[in-house]
Amino acid sequence: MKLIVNVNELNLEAYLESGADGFFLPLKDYATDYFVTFTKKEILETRKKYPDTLLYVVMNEMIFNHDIEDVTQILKELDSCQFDGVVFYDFALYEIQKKSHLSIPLIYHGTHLLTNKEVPDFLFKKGVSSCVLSHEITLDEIKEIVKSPMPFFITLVGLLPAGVSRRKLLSYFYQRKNQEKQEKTFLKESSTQIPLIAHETEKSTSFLYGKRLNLAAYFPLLSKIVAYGILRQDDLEKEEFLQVLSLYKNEKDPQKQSEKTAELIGRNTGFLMRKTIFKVKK
Amino acid sequence: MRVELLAPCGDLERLKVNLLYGADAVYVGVKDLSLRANAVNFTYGELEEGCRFAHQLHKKVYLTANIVFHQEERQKMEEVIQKSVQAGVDAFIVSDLYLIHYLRKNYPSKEIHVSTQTSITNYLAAQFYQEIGAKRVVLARELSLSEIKEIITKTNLEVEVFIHGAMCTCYSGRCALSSYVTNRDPNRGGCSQVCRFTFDTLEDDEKFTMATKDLNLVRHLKELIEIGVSSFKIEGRMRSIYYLATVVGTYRRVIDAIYQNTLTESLLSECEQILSRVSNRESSTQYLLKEANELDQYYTGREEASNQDYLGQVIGYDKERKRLIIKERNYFKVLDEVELFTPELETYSFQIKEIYQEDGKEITIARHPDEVLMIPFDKEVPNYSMIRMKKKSKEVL
Repeated sequence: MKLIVNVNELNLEAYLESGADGFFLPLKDYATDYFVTFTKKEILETRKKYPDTLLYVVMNEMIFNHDIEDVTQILKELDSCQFDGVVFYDFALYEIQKKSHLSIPLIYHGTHLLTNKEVPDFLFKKGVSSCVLSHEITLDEIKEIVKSPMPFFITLVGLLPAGVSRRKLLSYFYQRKNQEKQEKTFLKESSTQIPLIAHETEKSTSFLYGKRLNLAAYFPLLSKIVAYGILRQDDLEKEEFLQVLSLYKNEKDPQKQSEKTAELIGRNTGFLMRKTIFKVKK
Repeated sequence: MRVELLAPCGDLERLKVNLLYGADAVYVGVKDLSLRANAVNFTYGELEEGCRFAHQLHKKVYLTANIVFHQEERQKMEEVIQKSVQAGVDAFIVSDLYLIHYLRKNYPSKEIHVSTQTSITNYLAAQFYQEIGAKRVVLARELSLSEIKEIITKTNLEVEVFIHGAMCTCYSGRCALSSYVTNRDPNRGGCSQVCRFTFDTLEDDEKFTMATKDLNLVRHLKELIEIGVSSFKIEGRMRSIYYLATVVGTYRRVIDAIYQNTLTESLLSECEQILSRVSNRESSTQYLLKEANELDQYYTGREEASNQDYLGQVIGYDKERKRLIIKERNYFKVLDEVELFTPELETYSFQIKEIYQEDGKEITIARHPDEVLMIPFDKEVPNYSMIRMKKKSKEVL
């Protein structure tokens, strides 16, 4: 399994030294669910600086009609600079790639929508290169889905996306309190105290689940069946994140790997061993 | 081609009410799989009966099969589709890419409508779904009039837009708050409406909330018709028959007035008032005319007023004694000023002078929901006519 990391800076040496095989680079204005994004110029410069490193540009924001011209231009530039892929949610990007005859690989990140094997099978036939697995599925479901012929990405470490709104929810909240808007606000659902983090950009407000995912306990198995593992820095300190990354890359003893990473970032395994329910009465 | 009025049905009775009150088509779920897993939903027998009822009226039934299915549900999904085709549904509302492909391949004569779960916000995404077999797209609720217009102009698709009902805070399909907070999967029909919960912050005692007001576009139907919208969708498969009769009937009146060129400010005001009385939340135009803002949501968490305007449903008429036979829904009494409204969109105002129980005994107060009662009324009206409070008697006296 290749380890693809999402970090908060573009000096990538330390991450490469600690074991990163590639990077998710969220593009400003066109990526959601990330605290830190980078401008097109910064991302293009990063490609020049690291020509042999796997670099994927994340453009998973909703696209509106008025964005299409700009997104088309961006995709053409990314295509000409030979990025390793564009991570997308909105099928406008698929249409642009096709209509503009671009060869940049497309990686579908349906967030909560990739929950069966048939969707990647279908997308593979349509020319999509790979998919990011949804986070709300079980290990057994993952085992079935990865039988699809395309390679998959799975998040191993990070705060998981729980929702995106077009509304500027933090602006409204602070405006009402007559306080300066915070870009990021920690929330706890009032009755259960389940944590969420709300993050607002120019285009949306996203919600991340506040308990960091750590799939180290299942890494030995996942690393055999999934091609790419994603580690998100989110709000972790750099040194702490580098330690986690290094443990995923270099620690050969699975138990130590699991325990040591858990000491740093906890042991939330998300929905890997826990099914969601959807019927509450007969 | 006249715009379609599309209404939600949680069961067979609601289907009939919607169609009788003027819906051109209805959307329903079956018991096995739908995004309203906790609605009553239809058995296949009921679905067949519903389709027969609709087709006799030259109207349509669409099946919502818009869950994001997991591997274990695949076979069930295909069975649902097969049985629904046999039952006579006219179209499928789906979001899963594979299901679109499956329907196109196996049931090419059935229309595919792409669900709002896919949150289509631009014309290229709409074209993508068109290319893989969609005849219609249900657009995201986050779009403005001009954005909708551009999508219509740049595709040959039928475009369906929501015109009335509850709104999600997040993009449909792009929300798993319910999974993370309550372990209930919103994309398989288990949404627990976490966006209507309250949240503590680490800063002070002020609660963070994000519950939206409802959508109400009754004043903007004409513009939506003019830009070429094909279908007006009303939200709410779990709503009561009274709510549906009122909302569907009201929108029917406005749409008909637009086509007959008889729409007046007075009619719009009256309809707005009726819609606001039946709703349990305030409403706004949300994104249609401007970006939604701080006025389009609540700051106190879940805000729902109970509505006790609905007094009873007409289930028959005693021609001999000229009495409406009704099933009571809410408390009312002699001297109450009420309105009777019918599937033919007639409305009658009158004061209740007498109330009789089924055995003929006269009473002055109706206080038992579901009790069959009779009240004098000179004209026979169809079943499924409904009585609502106009003014409380103490206000009259």
